[in-house]
Amino acid sequence: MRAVVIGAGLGGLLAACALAERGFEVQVHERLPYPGGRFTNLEFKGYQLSTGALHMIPHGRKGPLGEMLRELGAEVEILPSEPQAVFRVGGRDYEADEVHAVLSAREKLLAVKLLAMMKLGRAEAGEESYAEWLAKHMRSETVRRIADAFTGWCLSLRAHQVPAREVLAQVANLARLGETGVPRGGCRGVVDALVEVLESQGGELVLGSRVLQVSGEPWGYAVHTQEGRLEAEVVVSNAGLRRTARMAEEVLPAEYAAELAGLRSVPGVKISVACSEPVLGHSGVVFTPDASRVCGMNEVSNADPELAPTGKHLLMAHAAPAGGDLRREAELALQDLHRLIPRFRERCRVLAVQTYRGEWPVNHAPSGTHLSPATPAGGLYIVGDGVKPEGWMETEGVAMGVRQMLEHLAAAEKSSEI
Amino acid sequence: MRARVTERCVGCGACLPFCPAEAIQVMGRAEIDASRCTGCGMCARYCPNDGVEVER
Repeated sequence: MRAVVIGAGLGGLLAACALAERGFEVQVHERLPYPGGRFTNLEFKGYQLSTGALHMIPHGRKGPLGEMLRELGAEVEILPSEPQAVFRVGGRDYEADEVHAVLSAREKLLAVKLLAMMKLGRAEAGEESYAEWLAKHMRSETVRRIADAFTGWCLSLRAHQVPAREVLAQVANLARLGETGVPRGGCRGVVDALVEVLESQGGELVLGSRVLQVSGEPWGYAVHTQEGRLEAEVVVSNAGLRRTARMAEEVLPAEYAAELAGLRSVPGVKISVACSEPVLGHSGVVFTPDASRVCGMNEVSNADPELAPTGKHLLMAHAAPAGGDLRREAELALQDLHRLIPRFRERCRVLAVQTYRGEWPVNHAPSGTHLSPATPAGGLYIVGDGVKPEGWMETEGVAMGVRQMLEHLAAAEKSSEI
Repeated sequence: MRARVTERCVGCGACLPFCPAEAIQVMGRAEIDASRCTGCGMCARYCPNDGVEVER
């Protein structure tokens, strides 16, 4: 059986490797001249910036992505962050289990109880947002800001923009897996390893090849590129939801295509900073509830020194925008960094301010959307950050989406639909 | 010959490292310093969003 994967982002490459391993004849078509999409490095002035994602694997070695890389035989070293995360409140850093120290005596007790329930996966919610759910239990402004920083960093959404059930499932997974890591070599370390696996399995990666249209054939699909026409029984799109809807218009029911086209992508701002000395001193996430736009930052060169020139450090900060003017949002985020990092002017230099939106967003759909990787068109699947299953953030969600796609495919093969 | 940023630019900065003239600044959108731009088209080649056009 033949499979065409459209797009060599993280989801596309994971899917392609898994399909090649299962005996498919796989071709990956990537429109850009490099693989990785929003999950690879951009070398700039000796620093390994990224095209999108942070150099981070949220659940470390034992999480869904870590496991999938191992299963596929992709050689990626995941360097665990120690501490996993801290919260910078009032200029002091607190680990997650200590941050209640900043609350009043009454709130403290409530917060400890609530966090314990969440970590055990015993907290329950209805249809409300995470902000509404929290407000039912606690009225603390500090707790609300901590929640905003957490979802802002992980999802580029504030607590009122994401369903409580989604966040509760994510916190339970985070607690159960208990590790966050930095891939050696950054995002590109993962992408290079996957490309190697793909090619060793006989798969083919075609760069600079733009897919224009997917049309239906009695035996599967014809994939039309600028160069010509390919045939495949299985097509996996890693091209984003709206692009997929356009490309596969002919084979998708109008109602479903409209649903895809109607989902709004999630914007974000990332600031990469060169530091003359370590300014955080560890590779864990520093959540920043006091800041107006920045939600968190990490200094990845503490995990892998090669992400920065010798003796220098690379810090990355993420901001969840509160408004649509991303230039303004980026300016506010820069002001935050000056306040958050002592002696910023002396020790730090802004390398790049990167904004993400539209068809090059943080996520193609907001967390909590739970779109299935299986489309109504048999044999046509979607992977990537638009199809994250409940409870899985960032790249872990991408890996779990690919796993779900493979399950759907196996079921379809069993019932001879493909 | 020089590069022009279009409405499609999202400000992702993927072009930054590829500009041999260091003519690009990004803040919400890319800005190209016309006095430095040589029109080599590297930014357009690496742009994920077709956000740069090279005028001839």
